[in-house]
Amino acid sequence: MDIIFQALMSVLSIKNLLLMTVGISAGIIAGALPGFSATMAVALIVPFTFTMDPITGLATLGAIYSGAIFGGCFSAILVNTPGTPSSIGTTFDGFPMTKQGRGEEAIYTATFASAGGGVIGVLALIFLSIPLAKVALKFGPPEYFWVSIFGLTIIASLASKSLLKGLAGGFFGLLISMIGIAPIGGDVRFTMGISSFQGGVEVLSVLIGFFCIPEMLKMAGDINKQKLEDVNVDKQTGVLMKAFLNTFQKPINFIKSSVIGSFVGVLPGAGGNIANLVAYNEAQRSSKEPETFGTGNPAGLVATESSNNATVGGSMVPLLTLGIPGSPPAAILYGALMLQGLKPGPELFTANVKITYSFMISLLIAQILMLFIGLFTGKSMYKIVTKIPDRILVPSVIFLTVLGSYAIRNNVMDVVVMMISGFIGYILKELGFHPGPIVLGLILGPIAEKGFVQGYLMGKASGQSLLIFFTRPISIILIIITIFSASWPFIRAWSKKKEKGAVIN
Amino acid sequence: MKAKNTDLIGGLFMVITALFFWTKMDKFTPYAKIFPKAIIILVFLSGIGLLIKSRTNGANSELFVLDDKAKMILVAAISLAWVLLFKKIGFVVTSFLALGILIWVLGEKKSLKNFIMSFLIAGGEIGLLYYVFSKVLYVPFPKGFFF
Repeated sequence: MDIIFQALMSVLSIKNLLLMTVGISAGIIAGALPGFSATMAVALIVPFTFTMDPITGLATLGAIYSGAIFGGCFSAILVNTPGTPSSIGTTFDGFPMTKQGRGEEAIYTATFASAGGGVIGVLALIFLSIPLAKVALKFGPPEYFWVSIFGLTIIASLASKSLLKGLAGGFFGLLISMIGIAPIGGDVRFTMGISSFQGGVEVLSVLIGFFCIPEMLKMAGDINKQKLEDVNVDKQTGVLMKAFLNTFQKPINFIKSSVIGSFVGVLPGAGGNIANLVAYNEAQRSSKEPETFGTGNPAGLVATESSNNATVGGSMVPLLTLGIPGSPPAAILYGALMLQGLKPGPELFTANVKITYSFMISLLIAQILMLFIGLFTGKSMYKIVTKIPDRILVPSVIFLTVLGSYAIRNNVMDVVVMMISGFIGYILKELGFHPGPIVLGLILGPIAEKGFVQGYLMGKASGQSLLIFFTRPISIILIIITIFSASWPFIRAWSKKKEKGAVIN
Repeated sequence: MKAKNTDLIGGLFMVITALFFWTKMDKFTPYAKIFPKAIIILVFLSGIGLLIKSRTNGANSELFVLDDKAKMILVAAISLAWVLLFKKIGFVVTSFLALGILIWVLGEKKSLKNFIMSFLIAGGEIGLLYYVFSKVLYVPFPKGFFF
C-alpha cells in the first residue's frame, strides 16, 4: 500500500498532469480519425518521450493510448465510422442514437462507460496482474482457436434478421482474412497476382470501407431529406444525468463488460477489437429486451465502450509481468520501456517497483482526466458534426477515409481496397447482410486459423491429432461457453414461445 | 420499384465467391490449405442454404431506395476515380479536384458563387490536413505528375 501512495505522489505533479491532459486530447483526436489507430498515435509520440524522465514519459504514452481507444467512439457515434477497430460495436447502437437526435447522450454515455471501464481495467492491472498473467500463460493454440470460435458465436446476435445471412457474412469475412501469406506454411494465398496483397488485406481499410462508405453513399442519395441539424441540441435537458444513469443505474452490464475487457486484454494478441464485440454479445444475450439492441439501446454502447477501455489496463498485465505485449500499442510501450532503460517482465516489480506502480497509477488518473475531457468536449463535438451541412460532411468524411486508409501503411492499394469494400459493403447491406459478421470474420480469421493449424500440429506430435482441441481443461470450459453462447438465441426464442403459449392458455 | 429476392442474389454471390476461391487453391501446401478449404465449403453451403431459402421462403425487399440515385452513383464514381488516380496525378491535386467537385455536386444551387465556395472549402481542408499528415506526421503522399 505504501508503494501505491508513493507512486501516486510522484505522478501528481503539474508537469505530469499537463502532459497527460495533452496526451489524452491528442489521443482522442487520433482515435476519432478513421484509419488513425491507437498504435500509430502511441508510436508517433514515443520519440518525444525519450528526453522525459521515465514516469512522465510512460504516463504521457499511457494517456495517449487511453485517449485513442476512447476517441474511436466519437466517429463511431456521429458518422457510423469506428475510429479504431475497438469501437466497431459502438456503431451498432451509437449511430442509431445520433439518428434519433440523441448523439449527445450517446457521447456522454460512452464517456462515462469508457472512463469507468478504464478504471476497472487499471484496478485489475494493479491488484490482479500476477494471477491473471498465470491464467493467460496457460492459453495455447487450441485455446486461442476456441476463443475465436466463441467470438464468432456473436454472429447469432448480430444477425438479428437472418441467421443464415449472418453466418454467410461471417464465413465471407473469414475467407477474405485468408488473403496474403499463410500463418503456417508460408504460402502466398488468394492475392490475384497483386503484390500489395501479400501482407494480407489491411483490416482497418476494410473496416472503414464497410462501415463508412455505405453510410456516406446513402447520405449522398438522400441529401435533400431531413438532416440531423434539424435536431435542436441546445434545447435538450438532463442529458448528462441520463447518460450517467444509462451507465451506472444497472451496473451489472457495465461491470460485466469491464471484466470481459480486462480479461480479453490480458490475452496476448486479443484486444479491444474482440473485447467490444464479446461484451456487446453478452449484454444483448443477458438483456430483457434484446430486440432493442442495434436500434439505439444505450446498454449496447455501455458494453462496448467499457470493455474496450478496460483492455488498456488488461493489455499491460502480460507486458509488465511477463514482458509479453498483449496488444500492438502495448508492443510500442514495450519499446518505450526498453528505451527508458527498463526491462519489461518480473524485474519491473523488483528493481523498478516505484516506476512500475507510478505508470499503473498514471493510467488510473488518465481515466479520470479522460472523463472530464470527454464531458467537456462531447457537446461541442456533437454540435460541430450536426451543424456541418451534409453537402460538406459527406465529401469531408470520404476525404478522411481516403487519408486514413492511406496513412495506415502508406499504401495506395489499401485505399482502393477501402473504397471497393465500401461499395461491396453497400450492396451487401442492401441485400440484408449486416457488416458486423463480415468484419468479425475478418478479425478473428487469422487467430482461428493459427490456433487451429498449430493446435493440430501439436496434437499430431503428441499422437492426439484433433483430440487435443477437446481434452485440455481451459478448452473444455471455452467449448461449453461457446455452445451456450451459440445456442442462447434459440433458447431465448424457445422460452419466449413457451411463455406466450402459457399466457394464451 | 419492384422488390427483389435478396436471398437469391445473396446466395448466388456466396456460391460464385466460393467457386472462385476454390479454383485458386490447387497449389497450396497441406497446412496452408486446411483452413481455407473448410471456410470455402462453409461459404458455399451457406450460399446454397440461401438459394434454397429463396425458393421456399425468400426475403423480398426493394433495393437502393434513395431520393436521388444519380447523386449517389455520381459520388461513388468520383470517389472511385479519386482513389484510382491519385497515385498518377498526385494526392493534393486529385483530392482538391475531387473534394471540390463533390461539395459542389451535392449542393442545392449550382451557381458560380457556390462553385468558388466549394473549391475554397476543399482547399482549406486539404491544406490543413496535408500539413498535419505530411509535415507533422511525415506521411509521404504520392506526388504523381503534378503534386
